[in-house]
Amino acid sequence: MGAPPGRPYSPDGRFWWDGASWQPVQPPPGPPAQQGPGVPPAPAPPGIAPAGRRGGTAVFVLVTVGTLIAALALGGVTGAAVGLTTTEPVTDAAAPAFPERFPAGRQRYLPKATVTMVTVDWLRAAGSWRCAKTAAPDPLTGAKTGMICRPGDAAGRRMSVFIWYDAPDRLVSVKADCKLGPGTKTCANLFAKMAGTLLSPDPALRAKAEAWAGENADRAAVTAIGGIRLQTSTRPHSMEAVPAI
Amino acid sequence: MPRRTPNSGLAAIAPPVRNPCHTPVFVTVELPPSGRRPRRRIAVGVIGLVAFLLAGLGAYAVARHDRLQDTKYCGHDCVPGIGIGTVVEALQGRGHTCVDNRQFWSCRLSIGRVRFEADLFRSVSGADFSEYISKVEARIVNPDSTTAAAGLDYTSWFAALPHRDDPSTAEKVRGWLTEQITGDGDVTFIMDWEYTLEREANTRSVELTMSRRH
Repeated sequence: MGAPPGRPYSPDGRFWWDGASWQPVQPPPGPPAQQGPGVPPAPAPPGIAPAGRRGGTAVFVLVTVGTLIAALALGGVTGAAVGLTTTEPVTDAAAPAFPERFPAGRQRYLPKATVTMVTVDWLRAAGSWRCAKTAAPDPLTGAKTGMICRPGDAAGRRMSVFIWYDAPDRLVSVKADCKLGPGTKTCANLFAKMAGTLLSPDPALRAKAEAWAGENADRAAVTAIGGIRLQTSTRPHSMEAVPAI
Repeated sequence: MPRRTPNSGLAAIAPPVRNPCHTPVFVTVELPPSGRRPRRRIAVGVIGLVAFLLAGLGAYAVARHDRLQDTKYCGHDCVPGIGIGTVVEALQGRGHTCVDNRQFWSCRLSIGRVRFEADLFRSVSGADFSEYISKVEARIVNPDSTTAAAGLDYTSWFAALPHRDDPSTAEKVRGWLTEQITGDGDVTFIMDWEYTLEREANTRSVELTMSRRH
């Protein structure tokens, strides 16, 4: 800032007299003048840090990196120590859940079928069928008890029904043999009656099972109806019912 | 006596009034920018704290996982973290019949003519047998086209026991079984376990063997 009009200047023009003391003459705005000894440095243009600030930034970066490394190392050691000391190894967790189709004990038995349904409702009602228990368990199915039923008349040696079960209401398998051979109506009727009896709790499934057994009595076929797997065979001519898996 | 000039960052010493021609001497002092150093200290502190916490949490998670998978109690030769008794109890609860043969447990279930059989071998710890599983042999005897789904669920449950806490690996094991269970069989290695699936024509069976890889 210059002196007010009429004020005296020093010979070199850099001071003016305010009446009591010499005041420095402020340089006019514009390009910075060349600095001499004792002249205050001009401020740095924006974007260019002074040497002092550049040095401060370098120190800041070094301190930050050092702190980062130290913190990572200390944190890692501390976290690992806490994890190892506070966690006990699992020595006996619960068993994982079973998938949906994993075999279960309840699948071992023909659903809703009983020994009475086969021996009384079907065979005894059909005529002079006689049943006898077997002494040994079935090696194939593991059933505890077996029963063999045959008609009391002349056809007795031509037809038979095998019943394997763990308890009267836990049938494992039922199998009908017919030595009259494929193509005979008697064998087809035997198989159809057996299928209908085992599915008798459900009238709709009963009719379906009877129809399937009658149609497939003379060939090898397999189906599953109402949780029961029906399989026919021609040699030997037979039909077997086991639980569907 | 120095007097403050209107420019507040500089202190100026005025020359003697009697010698105005003498060049004045200026002493410049750069005052610290207000608040810069405290802000940097706070930033360094925050960075260090965040790094400490992140490193600590990461190391804790790794150490905890390693600890949970610790198998020192069974000689690094077992399905970690689940006792053979627990597996047997689960199978019995599912209706399978199990018998202890000292060296291994045998569990069976027959459905019709199809038999599901599993032998769970105890791992050997010195001269004794430990209560952990080192090998599983799971068989399906007399399988047919209608038992494929049950057979897959049966074998995959045993095969996934070592990976029960790792769904992606368990799914990988199941995928391999899905490919092999209807084929002729194969061998594969998944993580630290060896899986062998064999189809025996003589016994009409499919057998999965799972053992720790050495």
